[in-house]
Amino acid sequence: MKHLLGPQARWLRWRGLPLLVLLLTFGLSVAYWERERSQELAAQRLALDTALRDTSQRVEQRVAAHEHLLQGVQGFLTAMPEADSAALRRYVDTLPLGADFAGLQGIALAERRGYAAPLLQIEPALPRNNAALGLDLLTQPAARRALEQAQDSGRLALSPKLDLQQLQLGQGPGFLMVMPIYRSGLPHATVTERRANLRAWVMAPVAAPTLMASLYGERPPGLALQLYDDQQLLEPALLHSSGDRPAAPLGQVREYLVQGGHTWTLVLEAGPGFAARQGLAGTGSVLWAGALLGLLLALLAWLLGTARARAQGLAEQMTQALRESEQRWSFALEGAGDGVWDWRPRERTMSSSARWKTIMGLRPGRPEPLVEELQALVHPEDLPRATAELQRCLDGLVPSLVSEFRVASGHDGHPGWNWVLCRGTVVERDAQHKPLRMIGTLSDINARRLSEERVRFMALHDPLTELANRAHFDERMHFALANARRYNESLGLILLDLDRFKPINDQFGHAVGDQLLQTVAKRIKSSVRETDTVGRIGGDEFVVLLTGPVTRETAQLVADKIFNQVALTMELSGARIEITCSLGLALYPEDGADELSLTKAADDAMYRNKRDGRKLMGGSPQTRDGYKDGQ
Amino acid sequence: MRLVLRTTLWRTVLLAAFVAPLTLAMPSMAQQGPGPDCARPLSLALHDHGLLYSADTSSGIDKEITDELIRRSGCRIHVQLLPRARIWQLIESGALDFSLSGISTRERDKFAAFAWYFSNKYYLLVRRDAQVAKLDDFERNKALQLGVIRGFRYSDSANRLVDGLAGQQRLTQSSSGLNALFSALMAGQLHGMIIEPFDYPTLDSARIREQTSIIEFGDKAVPHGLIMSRASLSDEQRVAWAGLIAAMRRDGTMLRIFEKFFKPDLARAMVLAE
Repeated sequence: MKHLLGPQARWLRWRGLPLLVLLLTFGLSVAYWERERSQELAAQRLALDTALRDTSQRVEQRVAAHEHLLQGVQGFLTAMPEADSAALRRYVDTLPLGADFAGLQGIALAERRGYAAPLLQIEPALPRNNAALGLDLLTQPAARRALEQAQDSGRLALSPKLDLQQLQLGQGPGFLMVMPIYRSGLPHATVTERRANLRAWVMAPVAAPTLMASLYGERPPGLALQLYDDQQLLEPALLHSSGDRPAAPLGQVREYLVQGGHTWTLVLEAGPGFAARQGLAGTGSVLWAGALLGLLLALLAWLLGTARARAQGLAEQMTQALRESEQRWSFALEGAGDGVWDWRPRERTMSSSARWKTIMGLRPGRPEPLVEELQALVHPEDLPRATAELQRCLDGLVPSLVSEFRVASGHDGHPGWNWVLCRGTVVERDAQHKPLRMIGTLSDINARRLSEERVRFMALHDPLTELANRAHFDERMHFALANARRYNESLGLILLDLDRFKPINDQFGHAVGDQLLQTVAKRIKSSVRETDTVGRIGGDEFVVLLTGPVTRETAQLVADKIFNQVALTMELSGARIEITCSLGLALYPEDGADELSLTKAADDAMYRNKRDGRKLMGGSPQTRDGYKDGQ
Repeated sequence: MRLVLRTTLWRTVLLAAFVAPLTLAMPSMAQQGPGPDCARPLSLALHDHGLLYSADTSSGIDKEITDELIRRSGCRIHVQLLPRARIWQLIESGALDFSLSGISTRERDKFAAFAWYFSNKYYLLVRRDAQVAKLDDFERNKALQLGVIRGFRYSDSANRLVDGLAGQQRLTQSSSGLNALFSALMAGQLHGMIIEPFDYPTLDSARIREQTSIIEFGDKAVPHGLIMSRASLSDEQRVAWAGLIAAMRRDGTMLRIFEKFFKPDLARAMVLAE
């Protein structure tokens, strides 16, 4: 199950979670953007609707103001049917026709005369207005429609769009506002009565652009306004237009304005300036911010979701690298013949390589040994030193351990000792500087140590007989003399020279001669104590230093023993050879106080014996006596 | 002026509008009391709305009721024609005393009192090419525009439709009268409008019937009545004027006025019994 879920969980952490966060953030951003955009559009619509309502009401109010003006004239003429043109002029002159009635081109009166409606009077009596006097408005289709509607309804009627200049009633596009005046005292409750009793019309030509320009209030920036006559939004029907029409309106609203039985269409179009003015142009950044936030959150989710895995990966990578490094190091060391060890003193645990076990004389496959077991393996003579060196390193007194000692090598049934070199260093300590871990190597230096000992032996001994050479013997004698002087002890020095050695050498060859010298050396060595020193100081000259309590008698016994042993017949390469020797004995302090005098005394005694007793060679008493004479 | 409905469908629709239960709790102001105070000239505004009042002919149900109120009260009442939205503004401010055939809303009840005299249902008139079979179809199709008269409110479902479309800028308003909306509907500039029985003369046109269909809102009939400004008329005065309306219902005057414009069965279904 774990095996199956592993890749899925990994995919979820590495890709699923960041993707989910990304999608979620994008989704929320889009939802938030949609909401903001919806609210912005709703606010924009509300602002546009409000502007439309305000504008339409201002238009209505302005038309109503003009209507009230006409109602005043209508009331004046109805109340005073006898009023003449002069009375009407005076009435109009009293009207406050100013900016509040902008667009009003004048007050006109048309009388109903059968099927004609000539203009009788236009006030103020400007030359421009007088030109239109006498114009039969019923011959003008647009004007006629308004006149008939006003007549039938008894109320204000507005004409369709007119060219006022063409009718000589003003300038620019405009319309007529018409109100009926019925004959006083006659009924006009029904259409029939109104048609029958109509007396005249009072009307006002109005220039639409001027009327619209005089509206109260300000048109919001970014709004384009068009006022169309009728409901078809065609260019010929355009009464007024203000503001720059946007190429791509953000919104368009319209309202039908019913004025005096006539319908206008008011259109407002909102451009970018309107939205900006309303503070409604800021939702675009929401998507960008949402996208950026989504990416950041996805990255964060990825970092959080994969932190453990990445840490594990890094740890595995480091562990693998360390393991490979250790393997390379171990391999290199093993290749060099060294063993590797890793010791944790506090846990009393040890791990070591197979080579280390081999060097330590342990079976390679055995469990790791305890420290006590290791101590038992070390040579008793070396153990105290090795232990002290180890302790100095553990205590931090020296940076590293370098210790040579011997370990038992008897695991193969042949007891013995091998020299090893142990190197190590403490790699980990606790807060109190106590060692926690120590690692090191172990080298087999047995061959090197044996070689060194051989070299040292060869420097001090004769290579043929392995007896002390002259230098070594001189050193031993110097040391023995110093010791004897200090403790008032005696020494014995015996010089020995083989008799007739050269002929034997010549007769049997140097090989036999060498064997003879080696045999003689062994016989001399076997004739003295372990504490005595035997040396070869010439081709066939030997010397023996007798130390410890020595008397002339005991020294003589040794000399006799040597003489007799050397004189024994020896079988060398199939030949039976007999040889004698001449000896000279000297004692310290009787015969000499130093090396030189002592040696000379022994040498003199030996040559006296050789001269006097060579014929006695063979162990005769004379020889021994002669020997004695040499004293 | 009476309607002559030529098709079975239209007769069914129109009859159904008035068969609805008309049990309405009338306000206590309809009780008998002192007459109206005519110490000052009063003002009453009419709005151009089909059979209620036609500006073209200066006649209609509201005009008849106005004349009857003037006659019964003996007061001097200045009557003028105003857009409906303007009427509500003036009623609220107290600059106008009366208007007619108004319906109440929670907002209007704060500044106006009503004396009911008839009720009717509302219908959605839609172009056939708009592919609208029910109300939801109209709401869902964002290309469809609804025409309304500024300041008008309707039955609950109709109000919900209007308010929802207003938020989507799918309303086209007319300052006054339905004629402009009918024209726009026929020209394809609008796709629907809300109508009442007063608009039937306009519907009595073969061209309109060929191009439109009617959808019910399914709401109860909504009472209409005399609108009285709380700002300009005292409680006693409002009771007195409501009393006049109640008297007109009681003595059959109201029914007779409606019968001038509707067939008798429709008129009886519309006029509230006292």
